[in-house]
Formats: sequence, structure tokens, C-alpha cells
Amino acid sequence: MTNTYFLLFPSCVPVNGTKVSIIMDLDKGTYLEIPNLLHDILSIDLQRFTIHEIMKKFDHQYDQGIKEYFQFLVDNQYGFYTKDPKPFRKPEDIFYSPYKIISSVLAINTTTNYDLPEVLKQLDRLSCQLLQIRIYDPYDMDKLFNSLSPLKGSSIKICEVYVCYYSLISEEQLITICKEYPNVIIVVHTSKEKKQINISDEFNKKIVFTGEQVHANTKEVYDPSLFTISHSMYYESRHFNSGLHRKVCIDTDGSIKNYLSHTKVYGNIKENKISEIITKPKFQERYFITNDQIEKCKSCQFRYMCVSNSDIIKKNGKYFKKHTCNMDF
Amino acid sequence: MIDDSEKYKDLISIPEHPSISYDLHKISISHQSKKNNSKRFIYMKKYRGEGSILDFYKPNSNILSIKEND
Repeated sequence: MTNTYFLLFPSCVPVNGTKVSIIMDLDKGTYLEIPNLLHDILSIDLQRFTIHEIMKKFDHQYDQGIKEYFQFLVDNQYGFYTKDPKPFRKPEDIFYSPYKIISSVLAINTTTNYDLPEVLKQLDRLSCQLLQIRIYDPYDMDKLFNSLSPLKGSSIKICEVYVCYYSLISEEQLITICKEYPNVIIVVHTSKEKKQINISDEFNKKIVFTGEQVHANTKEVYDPSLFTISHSMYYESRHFNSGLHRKVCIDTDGSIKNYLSHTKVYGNIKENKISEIITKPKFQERYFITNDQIEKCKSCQFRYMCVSNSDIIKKNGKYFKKHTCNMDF
Repeated sequence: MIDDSEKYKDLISIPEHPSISYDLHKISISHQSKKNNSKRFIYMKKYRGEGSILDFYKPNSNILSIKEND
């Protein structure tokens, strides 16, 4: 024990919270709740101090607890013992993405008159990976089928389409869209009945009908079951706002924004190209405001796994989210 | 997804011949194999044709809370 070190695996990251801390396992996509005191212990430079030296730092008040906790972490594959910590370097704390746009949300209603196929082509040229199309009102499925044609062979990996239920909506048309465009996921909102239609047993692909409504004032849902733990998510959220970083949104009027619910407009898709808007420094400001800088979020143990697209306001030199979760962690 | 790994077991295992260096093992298997490997490529095309990897490192925007069995 005198010359033994305890190290966490590089993929196991301790994160402090107000009431409780966690260790995120970026490989397995899980987390473990731990007391704040254990987080304080794990925040010591474990490569520099042996277990015995760590116990000494706390005046030997917590020796038994430290021994048991370290053993617990070893048993559950969060850490290991070693006599030589030097070969185990921490991974670089960097995030790199080659995509000019990572995600986008488009909104459509009965008054929308921007060219959807043209928008999809522009997003493809910017290597957009994730797309969400929110159709608030009943919409012609044949028109939708044709409008989605630029998705074929595009950079867009996943396209979620929220379609408004109406009596003439045909399941066959929806299935045709999903089969023609394998990267499209359809959710039918405002439906009278909840059901799921299997598209493909092999790939567990379904069309979901839900009674929930999607409209211009729909708010984001914050729930631990929707949190994401991954290497990329962690490193991105250390340096960028994980929701707003390289995101561009276009509302029903064609206004180009960081996110649909934000009030600040940077241009209109009927007059401007997306590529010219996203390079404006003002547009990119919100990319760089991380949860570590925002009040309430900065002391939340889930700040590196929570995707929030809330607008951010600055008051008295501090950042606040306009819409926060109501969770009391 | 159907687990077809049994089909490709012979392509995955490495022969124990000591005179063949590790990096040449795969080449020697494919050269000596009398099996028709074209089925493997059909499988890959089928995978690409019927689906895509519906996964990304983060969600776009969570506005609905739909559970698996809703």
C-alpha cells in the first residue's frame, strides 16, 4: 500500500455536483453516483500521490473509507492499482469536428414558403450530420416525399421528421418515405392514438404515433433518461455549448437563428445563404458558452451529458439560461 | 440485426502456421479459400441498402419524451 497508486481509467471521469458527484464512464455510456468527498479525493493528482500519501493528506480521517471506495471502484472497473503511474497518460482534453454544421432544426407550417429542398442541399454542403424537421400543421405527404430527395447521398446521418396527424394521413405513405430514405425517422404528433408501426424488424425501425403536440412553443424536455454519455459529447461540452455548437435553425418564416425559440435573427433563408450567416462572429458567440460558465449548470453533475438549446443571457457579468431544467440535483 | 458472425468465422480466425507472419495470415486465407466470398459483399450492400447507422454521439433537440414501449 505504501508505494501503490490508485488511478481511474482514462475513460472514467469524475464530475462534481452540488449535492452529489458522479463518475462518468465514457466507454460504457454509464455513470456512478459518488459522495462529494470521494470526488475531492479523486480530484487529487492521483498519478503524483500514492494511496498512503492521499490518506495522509486527509490526516488519516478517512483511511477505511478510502480503502473501501478504491476497492469498490476497482471491482466495478472504474479504476486500478499500479506501482508505476507514469505510463498512464491522461487523454488530451480537445474536441475536433470537421463539420461546418453539426445539427439543424427546421420548422414548417401552413404559411411557410421557403424552398425546403434547397435548404437541405445547403445543409449537405456544410456537412450537416443531424437534422430535425418539425411540421406543425397537416402537410401533403407526397410533397414531403419529393422535398426530401436531397437527403439521398447527403451528409445527413439522421433526419427526424415530426409530422402532424390528420385524418387523411396514410400509413402507406409514411412507410414509403421511411423505406425510400433510410436515414429518416418519422414521429407523428398530435395523434388520437398511441401506436408504433414496424418498418424493419432487422433494424428495429418504427414510425411512432404520439399524442404529444409539437408546435412553435414546444419546450425542450430535460430528463436523465435523455442524457448522453460519450467521449465526443464529453469533450465537446468541455469546450463548447453542446446544444448550440455548430447548430443552425430556420423557423417557419425562414428566419435563421441559433435555435428556434431564440429571439435573435441573423438573416432569412429566402435572402441569405446559410454559409454566409454561420460565419458571422455574432452567430458563433453562443457556440463557446459552455455549461461550465453558466450559473446553475456549472454546479450540476450532469453538465457534460445534458444537451440544452436554451438561449443564454448575460447579467452582471454572469451567464444564465433562459430556460432551465426544474430538476433539483 | 441478424448475427451472421458464424458465416465469417473462417475469415476471422488466424491459422497457427508458424512460418507465416501475422500480417500475411489474412492474405493467405483469402488466396487459398475455395469458398465464394461474394456472398459477404452482398451482405454488406444489403446492410447499406436497408438501413443506416441511426446513431450519433449526441441528440439534436429533445422535445418529446417517447419511451420504447409507448
